[in-house]
This record gives sequence, structure tokens and C-alpha cells, in this order.
Amino acid sequence: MTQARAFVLSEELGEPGRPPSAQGTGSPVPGGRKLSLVERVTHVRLTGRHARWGRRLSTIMVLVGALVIWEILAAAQVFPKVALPTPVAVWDSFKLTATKGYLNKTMGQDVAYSVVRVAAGFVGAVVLGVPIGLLMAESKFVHRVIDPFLQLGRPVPPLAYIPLFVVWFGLGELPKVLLILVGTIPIMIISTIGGVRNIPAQRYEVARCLGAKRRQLFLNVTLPSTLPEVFTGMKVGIGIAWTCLVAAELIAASVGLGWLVEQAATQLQTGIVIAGIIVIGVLGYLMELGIRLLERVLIPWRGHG
Amino acid sequence: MAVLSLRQVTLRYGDSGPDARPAVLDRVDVDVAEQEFVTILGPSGCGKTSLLRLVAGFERPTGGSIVFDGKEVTGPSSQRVVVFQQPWLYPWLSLRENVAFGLKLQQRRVDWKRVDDMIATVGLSGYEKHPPYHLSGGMQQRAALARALVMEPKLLLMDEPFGALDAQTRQRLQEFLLDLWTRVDVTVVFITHDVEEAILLGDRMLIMSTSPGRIALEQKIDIPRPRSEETTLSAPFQEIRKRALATLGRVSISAAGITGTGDDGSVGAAPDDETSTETSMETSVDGREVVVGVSSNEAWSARGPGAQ
Ligand SMILES: Nc1ncnc2c1ncn2[C@@H]1O[C@H](COP(=O)(O)OP(=O)(O)O)[C@@H](O)[C@H]1O
Ligand SMILES: [Mg+2]
Repeated sequence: MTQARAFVLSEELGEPGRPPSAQGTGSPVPGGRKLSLVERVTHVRLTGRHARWGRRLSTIMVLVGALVIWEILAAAQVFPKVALPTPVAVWDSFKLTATKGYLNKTMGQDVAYSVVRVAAGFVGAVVLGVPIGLLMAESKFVHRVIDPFLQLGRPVPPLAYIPLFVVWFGLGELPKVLLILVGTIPIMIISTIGGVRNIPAQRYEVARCLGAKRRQLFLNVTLPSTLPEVFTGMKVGIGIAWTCLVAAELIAASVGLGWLVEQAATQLQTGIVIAGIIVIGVLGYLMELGIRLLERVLIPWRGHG
Repeated sequence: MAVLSLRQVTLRYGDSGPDARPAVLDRVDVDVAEQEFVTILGPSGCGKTSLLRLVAGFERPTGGSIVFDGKEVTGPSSQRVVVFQQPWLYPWLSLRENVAFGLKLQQRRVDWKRVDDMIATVGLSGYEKHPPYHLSGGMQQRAALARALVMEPKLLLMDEPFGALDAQTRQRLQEFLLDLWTRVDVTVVFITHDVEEAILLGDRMLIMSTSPGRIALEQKIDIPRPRSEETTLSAPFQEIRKRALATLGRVSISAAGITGTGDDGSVGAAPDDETSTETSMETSVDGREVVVGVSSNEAWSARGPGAQ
């Protein structure tokens, strides 16, 4: 349990152990919020909808600023041209890879393969990990059987499994999907267990004195109460899934973004390498965004008592 | 006829044996008649919640017996519903679904009219679709009350249900409960650490002493109903209040070992006592971490409302 918390807790992961909110929960009180860049530069306090756009604008400004610095550095040839192509050159590499392809594979194919692998491994980890976590939390016996594997397996970086998986399953899709699954499932199991263990006893007591039996407690209290931490696990897990994917593709693949980056690097096609990295970043970000959207739809009550 | 009887109920947390912790409740006898409103008053940490949890069936007594409606209490039942200090509504359910929660557990088809009538009874019509976190603390507590009452329980157990609310909301809810009480048929055991609340609401008040928790005073409250906040100013109310404060002062002080006052049942109603007892109540009402009593080997500390 303590280990579980340590694994799940990190600065931006929100508030797994947040105490039930105090009385008088009305509308959230604004204020205490950090000023966005736009606000600090312009000295204008933004509120509500404007604040959100202000934050977005800040992000865009920062990115554009970075592009400009990059362009200047590249144009001034501070670094050799092969090492740091200009943003425009990277854009050209991207377009070329997207349309004509690189080593007989278009960027679209690479993206499709990578996305499907990540999705399959990640969904597998969630679909298996959440029930395993629930079982472990509900049954001491199951916990005793599975926990040793979890404890032993967790310190092993998933990448260490790649050679073994290649020996066992060859170079096809299976070893890559399995690697993502194996890498991501511990966080799903651990967050689920943490979610169950953090349920305030009163949530159960309310239901029990209204007549709930064991099965009803599980369906009506345990499952919904666990959802927020499952989502916390998913937001961490999607990052781990991408890490595992790229690692697997670097070592044993003939298509995919990791493979593309690796191949381009060996031929000093730095523009393609950078374009590939940016695409990986954008895709990872979009997937996490998708999870956040799903979270907002499924558990709008998150953070409310 | 008593609908609830506790006989020689003793509760000790943790293991028995040589290093057992002192009993939280020691041979407590309580009888509650049908349709009676009993308030239990005592300093924080004296075992009020423990007593209520025993009656609710969440906990089993170490000794003695608890008989409800002719049967020994062995576990929770929807005939004995608890309203906690916090409302504990489920945030993923709307107000209406929260109130219907108990009915849904029992029936395939929920009698929604019954649910909506109960929501109207507690004055929350129009908020049915809202999630609980859109409601104020007082409204949430009324919703929790509706969720309990819609089950038509024989016994309603309330554990400092207004203890976490601000003074104004608390006063409104007390008057609301007084009024509601005239309209629903239910026996109530109401726990509080607020003297006025205990007298204002109850037909009978039991005052508990600390470590071990016992019934130190049983006080009939003959003040006629309907009662309101005005009632607290009446002479009979003040009379009972004075006696209650004296008893509370005695049980807290004797528990703290400041005086050697034994458990002889004498009620020292000396007027001089009143100031000091007032102060001792104030500290516990505050809800801060305070030591209310010290036994020879252990300090008993009371947690604030939020920690209970
Ligand atoms: N589950 C528990 N395990 C051990 N001790 C407990 C438990 N619940 C309460 N106690 C102790 O029993 C005493 C009475 O507590 P409680 O019934 O909550 O008092 P009250 O409700 O009057 O404030 C306190 O000293 C408290 O620390
Ligand atoms: Mg209590």
C-alpha cells in the first residue's frame, strides 16, 4: 500500500488522498491561481474563459519563441547543419516523409502502426489491470499470490524484457504490444488498489445501513469510488506505454515511429529524426488529452467529496 | 414498550488480555421507547459515536446485549438508519438518486413518488437533478436526512448531524428537524456535544461521562412542543440547562482527576460551578484538539468534528 502510494503520487497527478471536502461546498472560490505569462507580460488580470485563452496563448507564445530561437541558432550555424537543421528544413523532411515516405514507409504508416500498438497494449493493460487490482484489493488471497510478481517486476525497466520477448515471440506485433502491456499494467493495478483502499469507510457504512449487501457495495460504492484513481493511473500509464513502444521499435521493428527515428539517425537524416520526435510528442500529448476528456465526461464529480 | 434496549453494554477496542485498553463504554443501560426522541450529550471522546455505532450494528459490543425490536442486533439494517456528521452523499449520483439509493438496493422498481415526496418534505424540491456538490452544507445534510427517512426506518440514529455546520445553518436545521419530527413517525437517537441542542430537540436527554463512558444523568425534558429557538430562553429550559452543565462539569472534572469526586451519582448544582463548566464546554465545542480527560495511564483526546 505504501509503495503503491509512492508510485502513484507525483506533483501533477492531482489529489488521490484528498480528504472529503468541508461543508458548504458552493461554487469554487477563484483566486490563489498563478498568473499566466500573458497576464504577467501585459499586467492584465484575466478571468474565466479569458483566463483559459490567456493560458493557451501563453503556450503558443512559448512555442513560437522556441521556434524563433531554434531558427536563429540553426541559421547562424552555431551547430553543424547535419546536427541542427532549421525548422523549415524539418518541416520539409516531415512533408517529404509524409507524402513520399522514407525507406518505403510513409509517415502515415509509421504513425498508424505505432498508434495501434500503443492503443492495443494500453487498452490491454487497463482492461486486465483494473480487474486484477480490484481482485487484489478485495481478496487477501489474490493479493498474496500476485503481489510478489508485482514487487519483483516493478523495479525491472520494461526495456529489459525486449530481448526475451524477441526470443519468445519474434519480431512481429505481439512482442511490442506485450511489452507495452507488461510495462503499463503495474501502474494500472497499483492505482486501482490505491483507489479501493482510499475509499472512506463512511461511504460503505451509509450503504450498509441502507441495506446494501456485499455485491451491492462493490457495484455501488467500490467501483465508482475507484474511478478517479484509475484515471490517474491511465494518465501516467499512457506515457509509460509510449516509452515502451518507442523502445521496442528502436530495437526490433521494420515500421513505426521509433523505427523511423532510429533508421533516419543512422543515415544522419536529422530533419526526419526531429520530425519523428515531434510527431511522437504530439501523439502522446493527444492521447493524454483524450484520456482527460474521457475523465471529464465520465467523472465530472472528481475532486468533489 | 422499549423499541431499543441496551443492557450492560461494554465496549473495548482492540485485544482483550493483560494490556487491553480501558473500556470505552462500561456497562451502559439505555432504553428507548417507540416514537421517543432521545438525545445523548457528552464531551468529545466519551464514546457517543461508539455507542451509536453499536446500535447501528457496525460494531459488536465486548459485553452485554443490544436488543432492537425484539431481536438482538448483529449487523446493520435499514430499520436503523444512520445520519452522520458529514452528509456522505455519493458525488456521482444526483440528489434524487442519492435519496433513492436505499430503495434501489431493495427494490427493482423504485417508487419515485415516494422519493420526490421525501425530497419535498426536506424542502429540496427543484434540486433533484443536481449533484450533491452543487448544494450547500445544510442542504446536503437535509438530503442525507431524506435518504434515511425515505426508508421509513423504525429508528433514526443521528451522530452530531449539525456539528459541522455554521451556527446559523445549524439553528435553521434544528428548527427544521423539530418541525419534521411532528410530521414523521420515527424514533430518534440524537447525539450531540451541544447542551442547548440536546435539550431543545429531545424528549429525554442522557448525559455521558468520559473514560469509561457511562450514563451519568438521565433527564426528562417536559418542555411542551412545538418548540423553537425561543424555547431556549424559557425558565424550564434554563433550569435543565443548568443541571446539565453541572453534570457535564462534574463528569469532565472527575475524569480529569482534578477533584476526587466519585461516581456517587450526586448532582452538584452549585451556581458557582457554572462559569467553569461553561468554559470546559466551550473548548470541546470549538472542535480543536483538546484533552478532555486524563485517566491514570492514558490521555483521552477528542478529535475535532472533521476527524470523526
Ligand atoms: N475504531 C476505534 N478504535 C480504537 N479506538 C477508538 C475507535 N473509535 C473510537 N475510539 C476511541 O474511543 C473513544 C470514544 O470515541 P468516540 O466514540 O468517537 O467518542 P465521541 O463520539 O463521544 O467523541 C475515544 O477515545 C476514541 O479515541
Ligand atoms: Mg463522535
